[in-house]
This record gives sequence, C-alpha cells and structure tokens, in this order.
Amino acid sequence: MKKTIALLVLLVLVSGCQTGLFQRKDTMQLPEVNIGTQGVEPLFIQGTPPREVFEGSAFTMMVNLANLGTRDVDDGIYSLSYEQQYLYIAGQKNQGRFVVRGKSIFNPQGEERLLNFAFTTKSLGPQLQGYPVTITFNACYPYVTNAPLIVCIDTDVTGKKPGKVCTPQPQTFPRGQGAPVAVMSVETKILPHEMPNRARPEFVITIKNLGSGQVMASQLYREACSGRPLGEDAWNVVGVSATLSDSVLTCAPETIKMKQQGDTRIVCTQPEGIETRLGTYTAPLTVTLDYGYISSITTQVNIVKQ
Amino acid sequence: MLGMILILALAGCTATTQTKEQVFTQQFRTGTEGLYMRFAQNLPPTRLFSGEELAVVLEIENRGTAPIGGPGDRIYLSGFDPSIISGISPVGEQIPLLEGRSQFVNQGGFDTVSFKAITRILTDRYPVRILATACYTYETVASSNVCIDPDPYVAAIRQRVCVPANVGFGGGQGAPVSVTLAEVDASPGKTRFKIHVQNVGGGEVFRSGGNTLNKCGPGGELGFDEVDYVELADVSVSGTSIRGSCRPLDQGHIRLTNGQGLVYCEFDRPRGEAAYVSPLTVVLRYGYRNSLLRDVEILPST
Repeated sequence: MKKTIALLVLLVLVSGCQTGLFQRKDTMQLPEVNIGTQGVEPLFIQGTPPREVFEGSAFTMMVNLANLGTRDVDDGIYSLSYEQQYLYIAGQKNQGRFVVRGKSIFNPQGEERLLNFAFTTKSLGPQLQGYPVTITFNACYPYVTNAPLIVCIDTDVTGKKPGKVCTPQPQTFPRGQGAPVAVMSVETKILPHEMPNRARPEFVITIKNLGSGQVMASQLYREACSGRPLGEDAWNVVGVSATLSDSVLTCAPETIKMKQQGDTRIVCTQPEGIETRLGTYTAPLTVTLDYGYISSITTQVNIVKQ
Repeated sequence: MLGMILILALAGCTATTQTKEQVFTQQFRTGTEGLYMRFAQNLPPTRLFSGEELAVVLEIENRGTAPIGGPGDRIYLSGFDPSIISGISPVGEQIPLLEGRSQFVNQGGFDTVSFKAITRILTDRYPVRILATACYTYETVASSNVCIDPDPYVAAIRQRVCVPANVGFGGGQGAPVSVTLAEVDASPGKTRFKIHVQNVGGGEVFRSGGNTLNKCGPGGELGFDEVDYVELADVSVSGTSIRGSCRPLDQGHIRLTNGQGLVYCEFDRPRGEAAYVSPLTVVLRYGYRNSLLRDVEILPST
C-alpha cells in the first residue's frame, strides 16, 4: 500500500515538473457556423399530427422551426393551409409570427421554436367513410446570405513581379454560407485601369438556391404566406451587394432574377480601382444576398368515421 | 585506484588549458548567401484576435562577405489588406549596418528589424500571408589564379610553369551571385576569358543603383530591362583592369538568362614571353531581393 502511494506521489511530482506532459497541445477550434445551405427549416414532431383521427375529435400538430442558417429571423410569418371544410383550429389563427435566432459561434446549433396547433375535425357527412386531409405548413421569412470570402488582389496586371503571396484564381464554395441561397463561386479578375498606377478588380459571382424552398423578393415574403398570388416577377428575386475591404463595389444588376435551372452570375467591380503600390495581397470580399424565402412541409391526416 | 583518479584529473586539467583559439585566416569567400532573414519565434503569431497589435520581428544576418545596410537597403512587409492591418510603413524599414564575413571575422553581422501594426476589429476571420521582402545592394568578389601564356603555340620546346586551363569557382564567393567558371583561351599576345556568372542565392537580382533599389519593394515595379542584370564593376589580371575589353555589356551590366550570364574579356598586355600564374579578379555589383512568407490568421473578436 505504501509503495503504491509513493509511486502515485512520484507520478504527480514528475507530471508537475514536466510542463506539457499531460497538457493538450491542440488549440481550440472555433465552430464553423458560416457553412450550410439551410435557413429556417420546419419539421413535424414525430407522431404529430396522427395519421388517423375520428371525425368530431381533436388532435395536436406540433411543428419545430429550426434556424439552421446564420441569420436571425426577427419577423418571420408562418401559415397553415388545409381544407377548412374538414378541419378547424380552435382559438388560434392560421397565421402567426415567429422569431428564431440563427447559428453563431456562441450557439452553433441555431435556435428552435416549437409551435403547437390544436385541430378539431369536422363531421364527414353521411356520404364519406373517411377522408385524407392535407395540411401544409409554410414558413416565410426574410433572409440574408452573408458570404465572407478571401480573394487575391494582384495589382501587378502585367505579371512582372515574382514572389507573390497569392494569385487571383476562381474559387468555389460548394458547402454554402449558412443560408439557402449560396455564393457558389467567385472569379477574380484584375484589369488595367484608365488611370495610371491603378488596377480595377472585377468579380464574377455565381449564386444558386441550394435550399429546399423558394426564393422571392425580400419585401414580399409576408404576401407569400398570405396565400395571395405573387406573380411570376416576384419569385427568384435576390438583391446583391458586395464590399471589398472597406469599399462598396458596384454590382450589376443590383437585383437579379435567378435562373430556375443552373447558376446565376453577377459582376461586381470597383470602378475607382486600387493603387498598384499596394502590390499583391489578400483581402476580404463580402457578398450579401438579400431575399425572402418560403419553406414548406406537408402532411396528411386521415379522418375516419367513428 | 588513486592512480586512475590522478590520471583523469590531470587529463581534465590539460584539456582546459589547451583550448588555444586559432586565428581565422582560412578562405572566407565561400557560400552562396547574402542576407539571411527569418521571423522571430511567435512574431508574428500564427493566430491573433482582431483589434490586437500585430508585432513582426525579423532576425537578419549577413551570411556573405559584403556589407549590407547602405542607403536604400530596406525590408518591406506586404501581402495584407492595409484597411485591416494598418501602421506598417509602405516604404519599409532601413536595414541596419551588417558587416560581412572577412578574413578575420568568421561570422557576419546580426540584428533585428521590427514592425508594429494595428488590426481592425473584424466579424469574420482573415487569413493572411505576410510577405517580408529585403532589398539590398551586394557585391561579389571572385578571385582565382589563371595561367597567362603570352606565346602558347611556340615551336621551340621550353619549360613552362603552367598551361592555360579553365578555372572553376566552386562553392560560391560568399554572395548570392557567383562567378562559376572562367574559361581561358590563350593565343599569342592575348588571353581571352569567358566568365560565367550565376544567381545562386534563391532570390532575384537586378541592376545596381538607388533608382532600381527604390523600385524593388512591393509598391515599386522593376522593369523587364532592370531584372536579371549584374553590373560588372571590374575584371583585372595581375591588378590591371581589363573591364574595358569585356563584351557584351548593357550599360556596364551582364544580362542573366535563366539565372545565368556570360561575359567575354581579353587580356593583351602579358609580361614577357614565358607563361606565368596571375590572379584573375572579377567584381560584380547588383541589387538583390530576398523574400520570406508567414501565414497568420486574424480571428474575429466579436
């Protein structure tokens, strides 16, 4: 026993002397929250609504709203659509508001909200033995894709200088930026400027809706959940802005209608150019995409006679 | 046993008393480096938070034989966005005077150059590659004995002290640009030299002079007609300059292609008629640029 205690004491002393013997050498990694292709995702809680309910009875439907993107939603709208001939919600409205915070380094999972709906089935009438009712839950919200990218600015347009820290080249971002509309790629071009000792950076930005919902003009997201038709021009509309370091870029077009199929390209430039004396360096390019989004889920409830 | 201890003690005493340092008089013009630089440990750190001060310290050493630190010899930092990392002068920092190695000093000068910058508060991480660029004027002095035979094709049989042959300059001359070979071609009354020059230092060589030195930094732009040129400052045989005979020269400079250059020189004033050994000395002057990279990640502090 004494021997064991002595050995333990020795071990503690030795570990104390040798710094780092039992220390973790790896540095803490911050969670990567700026990736992903989802926004606010609604999900029916398992077992709700039930598959079958009797006519004239009540049932509960629970929906979990999870913000899996990086943007906070402070004024989201949800709506329920169903055949009101067979179902009604007692004491509740078919529409409501929601607030869900997005992912952050302090909350890498994103916030969730649980919505509870108490339905009552109506009588089927003498003709029907059963009836399948479809319930659709829509979440409509404004969202912003904020893509912080690092690009190479090489003001040596003619390529005279050797030993550069980087070379402008196309970059792809297949994992998204924590939002359903993603910047897929950025192609950096450094062009000669009309003024001497300056170079003009140009960025060809490719965007795509990688989420499961639909994109609309940001100011129309409320209408999208109202059930009123929006018209073809309202869908797939995204506002685009970009900054390079501290400078706001000129993007053309500033509001773009995304293609239904394939990628959509936008060109952003810095008309005043960059001084060539700055040489070659890496700089943050931040692309901001502003839009409305609708995510929908559907389920079916079979109403049967008692 | 006592005898053994006594022997060991005596051996120890002898060892300490025998450490007589030899005077460093061996050939010092060796090596292919000029200015050597490295980042001091953790300066810059590999990671720091935005808003913190960024300190960069470069340890520099003159590993060649020519002095560094004259006017225009500077170290620059670049590769970063000046709107994020500010406070670093675009005109760089003066390199302190660093003596080169010499016959009596076997180590060149050593010093540090410091930079301090402020980082802007960021909301996203900013990975940056910091480039340190040193620009300085340097000189190569290459000397070796060559055989001068004023009459190599004489019919009479006579004793010669040497036969003209090519001379190799292996191992460099304590400078990043080396004279690698001197081909010797003796003819009656004239000895021709084909002198091979090579950039062996791993950096970029450019025309010497303050004008080009000022353009060497990241903000400047050395032209195609300025890079890969080495000034032929002098070529002498037996102390007599033959630089005037050297061809081809572009404003006194040798053009390097793929890091290598050639110049042809003639010596037409041999002494007497017998072959003799004489020193051939080549002096090159040039601007030189070394660079060094360090990756730093600036993390958001919010």
